[in-house]
Amino acid sequence: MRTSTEESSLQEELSVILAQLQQRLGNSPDLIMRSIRIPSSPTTHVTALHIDGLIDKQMMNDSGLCSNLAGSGSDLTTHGSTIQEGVYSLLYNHASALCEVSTTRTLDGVLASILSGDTVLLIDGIAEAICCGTKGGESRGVDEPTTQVVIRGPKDSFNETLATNISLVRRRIRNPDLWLEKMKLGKKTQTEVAIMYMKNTVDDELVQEVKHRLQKANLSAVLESGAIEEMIQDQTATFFPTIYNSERPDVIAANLLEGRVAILVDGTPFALLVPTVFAQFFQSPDDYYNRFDVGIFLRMLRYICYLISLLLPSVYIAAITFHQDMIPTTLLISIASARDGIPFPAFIEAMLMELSFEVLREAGVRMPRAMGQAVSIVGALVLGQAAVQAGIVSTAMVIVVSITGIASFSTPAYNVAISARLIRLFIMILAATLGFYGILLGCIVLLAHMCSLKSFGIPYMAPFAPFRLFDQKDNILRMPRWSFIKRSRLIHQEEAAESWGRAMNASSKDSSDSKGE
Amino acid sequence: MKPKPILLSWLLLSIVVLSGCWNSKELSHLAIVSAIGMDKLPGGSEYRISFQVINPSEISSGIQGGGGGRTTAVTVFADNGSTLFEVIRKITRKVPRELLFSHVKVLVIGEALARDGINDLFDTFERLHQTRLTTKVVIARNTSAEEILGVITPMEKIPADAIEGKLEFSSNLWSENLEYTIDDIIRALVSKGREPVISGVIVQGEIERGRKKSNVEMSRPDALIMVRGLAMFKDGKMVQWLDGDKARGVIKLLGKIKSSVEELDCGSKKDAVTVELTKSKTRIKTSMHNGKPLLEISIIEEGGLVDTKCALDLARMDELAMLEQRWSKRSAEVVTASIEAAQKQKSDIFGFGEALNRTNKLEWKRVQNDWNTLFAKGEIRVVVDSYIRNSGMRIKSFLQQS
Repeated sequence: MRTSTEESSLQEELSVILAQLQQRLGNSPDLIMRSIRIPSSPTTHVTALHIDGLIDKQMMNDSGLCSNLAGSGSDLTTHGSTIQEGVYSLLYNHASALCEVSTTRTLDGVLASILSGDTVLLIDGIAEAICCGTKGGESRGVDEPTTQVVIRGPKDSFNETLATNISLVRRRIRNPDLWLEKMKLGKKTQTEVAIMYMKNTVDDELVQEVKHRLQKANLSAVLESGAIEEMIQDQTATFFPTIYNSERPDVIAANLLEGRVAILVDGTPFALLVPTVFAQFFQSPDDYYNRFDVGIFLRMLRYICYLISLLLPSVYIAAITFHQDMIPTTLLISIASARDGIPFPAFIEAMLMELSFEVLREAGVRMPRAMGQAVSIVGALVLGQAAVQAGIVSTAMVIVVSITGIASFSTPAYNVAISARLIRLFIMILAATLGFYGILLGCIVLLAHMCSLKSFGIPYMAPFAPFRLFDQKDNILRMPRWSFIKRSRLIHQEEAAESWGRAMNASSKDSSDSKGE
Repeated sequence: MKPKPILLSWLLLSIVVLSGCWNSKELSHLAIVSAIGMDKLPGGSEYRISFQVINPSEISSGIQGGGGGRTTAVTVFADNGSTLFEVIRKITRKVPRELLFSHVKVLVIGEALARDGINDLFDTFERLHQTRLTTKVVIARNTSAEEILGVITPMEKIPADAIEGKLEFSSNLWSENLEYTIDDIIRALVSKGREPVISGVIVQGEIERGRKKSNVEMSRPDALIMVRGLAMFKDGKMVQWLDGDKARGVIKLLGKIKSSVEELDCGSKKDAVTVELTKSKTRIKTSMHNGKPLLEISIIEEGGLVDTKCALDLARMDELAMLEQRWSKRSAEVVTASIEAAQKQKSDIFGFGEALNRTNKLEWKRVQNDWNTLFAKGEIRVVVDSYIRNSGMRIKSFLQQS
């Protein structure tokens, strides 16, 4: 907001200030000015300013400033030396009782206040404005999460209002150790960003690092947490997300208890969590709410599905173009008969199918919801059936691509699943040129790359590499809950009872271990 | 600073592109060979080698895009040449695709070639990476391998599968045959103390009509491939066919019997009791006595009674013991007959020489070059212990009640 030269302090004359403000805001019609008459001092002009839609109208009207002020006391001079000062202190006291109040002496301060939803009271003759916190306005309610769906578990999710989101987390961790820091990011948007952490659990250096990186992030606009994620992540040139995001308050709470730092951004339901390890993307809150055996099974299934979504088309290509001897004879004959008369080499065929599947998927996401369904039906029927009948692709390839597609949906985190889609194409090229040898090469490079990644100083592949036996109980496996805490004696019952979250996970350990790195 | 990433990625990319698609073969350019046949051309040293190639669209015609119904499930291509590899390359003049050998199920050797010697045949199979040493080997009895490959078979669309299936189940349940793989044969050929035996296949009926698809369009096919007999080899050359009990004796001696059927006499009635052999264990031991080998065989076999045509009282132990004794005697006779047949041909197909090698290495070194003649003079001593463990769901036969 500091674009103009008017870094100046407020004028005393009300009409001048109002004119200045209107000029700065380009005579915006949504700047609402209300004159307030003080009964006991009719000559003092008081104006309340706010932007339409940003404030809580209920608060303004019902318990609001205007109506209550009207009937206020008479002895104004007892509050100050002049009548104006008397009015000022009267208003100040009154407002304090209703909402949080601050004062500003600059025009920019006034502007910042009203733009973030405050109501500003200006008194003729006083060069100081009273800013009342009346933030509110329309916002979406707390709905069910749409991206991280669980069968069993809390059904609330963040919305676009920071205060709501913070309260959702606070409600889960009623502990004074849950600390919150706020800052404004984005030179133009001045978006509020909150950092949350558990004071005695988290590594202090991590908090410092997060704050440092956030301040260093030279953003002009923060419209979604993705912008922040990109600016504070450790490495840009990678397929893998190194920062976890979630719209589920229970996930954020659990991770805070593990010692992570959450970054909540106003205007988006997606909160960030740092540091992040690869295994996190395969954990669903469901794992912890169901029995542990179910949890283990589902989690292993997800890892297998990820491998399928990464490698299946490549393995298929490699097997039928290089390693026909590995396929059982009957299957080979079926594939051969299905491929008889297919005009393209297996690789081109696979690419065709993969790309059309991706197009379908993208179209399905972008289409208006009512039409989305039509797209998938048309896609499945027309593309699949007709392409096979026309002899453009073989049935085996349709099966492979569909299994791959379905498998990629089973990864709970969308951002990792989508990166697998990209990597898949590269490995397919390798498979088509070098066979299994190529797939192996690709996997080695990929693994080496993953091992080189870090998220806020924590090795990305943490409990795998470096390998920590102790942390394996909540990695691919999800052992029974009592194993998450060290076996405690009776004296430590409290501690045991408190750790309902996924204590002892990889990174909380690592964050204290790898300070030197 | 890191190495220039763009340059590095170009270099890495060139690995992929420059290497080309090494060994990449599109499935639609491959002809899957299900069986190989080898025959000797009359006169000269050339072979006639035939390949049974699968027509995939005929096998799985249910699959969309498969088509089918145009031709037979397999086509046989054959050509002459002095080595297998030569023919593999030469045959490309006749086959529109490249042959794929990793799914060969069966290797059929013509009888004429087998009698001429099989020592030279298997080198290529060991050298090429596609061919598998687990391929089963059979001898085309009284006919050529090419004819065998050409017969269209009912039930199994691929004739090679049919041969393999018959070989497997008859070996397991009837035990007059043996599933011998290329690997087994090579090992038997290398060993001085053992000679290979290979199962035979014949075509029952009219070979000519077996080549047509119409052969399987009738309930009683005109031509049928049947597994029959064991070919006995000596010095890599086939010398004799063993059939029936003699063949079974060989299998029993080799300890390869899994299950079989034995018929025993019941009083004066011949072959009136049938026993299902369920377990048989053979131990052979060879030792030298006065320059003559002593061939000791001990067999323990178990079985259950499955059929009687006479009134046996199985509740009586002595009846059962008598039956067991009779079975032991019969087994000993069968086994002795098999050994004698082999001795006549001076061919140690049972591995008595290897047994000697295991027990007395020095002695074996001394006699190994002359083993076959020594074996022929060997004294046979067979001990069989037979046990009838059960009599099925009944004890007394209804024949006894009437």
